[in-house]
Amino acid sequence: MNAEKPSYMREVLETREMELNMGPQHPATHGVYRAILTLDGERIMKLNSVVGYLHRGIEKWAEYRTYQQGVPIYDRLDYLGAVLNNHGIVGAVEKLLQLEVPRKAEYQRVICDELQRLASHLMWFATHALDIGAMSVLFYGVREREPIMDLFEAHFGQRLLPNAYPIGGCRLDFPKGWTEACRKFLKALKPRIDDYETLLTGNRMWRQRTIGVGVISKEDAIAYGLSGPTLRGSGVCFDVRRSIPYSAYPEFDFEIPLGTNGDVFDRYLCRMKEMRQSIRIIEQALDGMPEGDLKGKAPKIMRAPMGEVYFTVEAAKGQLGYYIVSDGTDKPYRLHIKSPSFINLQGLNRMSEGALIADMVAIIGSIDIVLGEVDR
Amino acid sequence: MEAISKFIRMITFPELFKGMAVTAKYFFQRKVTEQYPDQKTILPYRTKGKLHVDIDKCISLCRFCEKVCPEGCIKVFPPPKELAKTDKRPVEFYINQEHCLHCGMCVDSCSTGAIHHSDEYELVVIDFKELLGDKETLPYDMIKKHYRWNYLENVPVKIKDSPLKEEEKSQ
Amino acid sequence: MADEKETTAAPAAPAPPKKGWEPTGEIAESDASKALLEKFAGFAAPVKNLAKEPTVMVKKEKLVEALEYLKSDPQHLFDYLSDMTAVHYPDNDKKIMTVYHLYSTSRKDSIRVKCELDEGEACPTCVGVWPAANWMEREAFDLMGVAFEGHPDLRRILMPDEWEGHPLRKEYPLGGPQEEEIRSNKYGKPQLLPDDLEEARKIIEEGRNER
Repeated sequence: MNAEKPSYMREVLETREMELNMGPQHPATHGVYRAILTLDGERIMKLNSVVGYLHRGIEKWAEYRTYQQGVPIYDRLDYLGAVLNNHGIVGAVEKLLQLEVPRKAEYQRVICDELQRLASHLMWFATHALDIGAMSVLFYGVREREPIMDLFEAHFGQRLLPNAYPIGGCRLDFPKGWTEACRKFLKALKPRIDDYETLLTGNRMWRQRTIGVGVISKEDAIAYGLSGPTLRGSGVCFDVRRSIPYSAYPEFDFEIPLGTNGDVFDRYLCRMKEMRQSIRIIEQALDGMPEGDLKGKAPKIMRAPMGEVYFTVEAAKGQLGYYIVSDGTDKPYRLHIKSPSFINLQGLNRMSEGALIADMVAIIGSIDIVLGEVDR
Repeated sequence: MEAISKFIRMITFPELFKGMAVTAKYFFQRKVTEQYPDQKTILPYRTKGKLHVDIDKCISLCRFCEKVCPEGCIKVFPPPKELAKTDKRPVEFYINQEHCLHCGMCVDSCSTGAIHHSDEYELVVIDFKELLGDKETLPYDMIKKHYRWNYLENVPVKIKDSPLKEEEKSQ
Repeated sequence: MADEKETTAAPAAPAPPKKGWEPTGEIAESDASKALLEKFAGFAAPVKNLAKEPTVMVKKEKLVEALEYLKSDPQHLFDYLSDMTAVHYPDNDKKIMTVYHLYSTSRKDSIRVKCELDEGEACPTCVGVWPAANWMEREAFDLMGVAFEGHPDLRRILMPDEWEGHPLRKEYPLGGPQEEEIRSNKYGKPQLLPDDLEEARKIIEEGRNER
């Protein structure tokens, strides 16, 4: 270390590494996350993450509830993408019990999933830009998210944590006028995303803050197990909707946006492009909505044979997996949640090596963590 | 030539003015913020608010709501066996709104539609013990006018609604 | 808490006899699982699965070697560790089982590898194969009490450092160390009320009066 310094500095000034504590009550860590940074001047030498402040023991809790009873609690994992969490657990139990889901219900799930993905990405967009210093974007992002919450409230009855799907299908059809309201919202959203991109993508301050910051290479991204837009920003084409197809996703035509450099800017672009793809999927699903039954044939008492399943969905943050071990009773014997934020946060160590301390906030924002999901 | 245009772009910040144009565009549009305590929103028909129980409709012996509740908020006391042949109404019914997740699974499982949500969402109280509802306090209060039942097909009337919700009322 | 309630509406089915956990279903095979079974004959065995996911049980001695083989062999290329966790089976002979879900981003194929351990036995770490396993193994250590041999930074991650016990083990109560206290505080938790109405009313009245 000392050898790199100019000689007068070595002799006169005593230099040493400094430890800086960031969080747990830092506004830019998106929750109660603590980072202990070892600094050399303004460069980050080492990052030590401390998580677990929001640990609620959901995996233990699940072992004491029946399969149906457990469903609403998983909304609380990633509270900005509650419907997607719900799809994960419902899909896992359906896989375990080998239940058939009606095609109409699958379409309805796809529509609500993609709306939730839009809402989650809009919230990320708002807060990430605020972290870097673009204040007005916060208002735009939250404003666009509000109609989605209204649509959820009209359909599910709840805004944030709707307990969206029961096991085996969907509860109720869309209310009258919902489809039109949804189309109207999507039509209004498309030009607005373009507007927001003019605010940020071409903005030279934004580009200077994000390009070349928090770089993670393709090989490292895979090795660190990143998923979602954080992985795709590095140019790895891994999207659960396409790679391990579930629900009605194989029936839709959509692209998987990829980045090239794996920096903050590429991850930002990936998510912005993903929002456009989500709109495309919703429009296709609304057009091709099949007729038929919504509620599948789900038994009232769900007893699964002894065995295990692993089911993954593409949540807004990445690959969300549920691993259920069943022991023949109506409660899961063991339920493990592979939460994308937890694994993506691990990659932060790699991304922040050698970064400036001012860029730390940008990098944390770009991996889009929700601490409810990290800590479970 | 290119260098000059690049230089002009560098000193004039065109992208900043573009961004400001976007902001200016939205400045003159309709405001979307609702002034909450002064201006109450009209909630849609399916809102999962406070739970209410129609005691006369409840058949109490099934206790489906009690079994399906993930937080164990509900406790039903069915009548004694001799009485249950003629009168199936519960002797006592406790719902603790303090622990309620508003997931709506009790409403789904109820076969008679006795338990239902209202759009009463202001559940902040001074003493948390007020949130324990029993047989007297649980039935739906028809005198409070803008609250109504929802989620099930038996729908009481609502006073005024937005277009999306108007159509629903006629369902 | 909820386990005190009746769980089913139907007439109570006889409780399954207490025995070890054993998966049911069919043995699913893929090219990768066949190759793995062939290469590590004697150390690997196929496992039944409900949803036809290829599953292989590998012995502890050859675990890291098998994972390394699956990752680097050009035929398999399982380069992505999707999930890693541990399960506690107190009624089995081997009480701890670690589970690895692997995925190949280039071949779009997945496989599950499992490893059985005795109580208190350390599992070989696979941090050297995938850095992603670092936090996953820390989590398994924290919540399940599985030690990982050769792990660079084996500390608690979700629970506080001074916590006693490993919460996801089967003998650990749901309420944790305060289990008794939680169960004795009956007011405001209707699921803990007795079935007798008079007693229930008495408890509720007591709760209402106390300040």
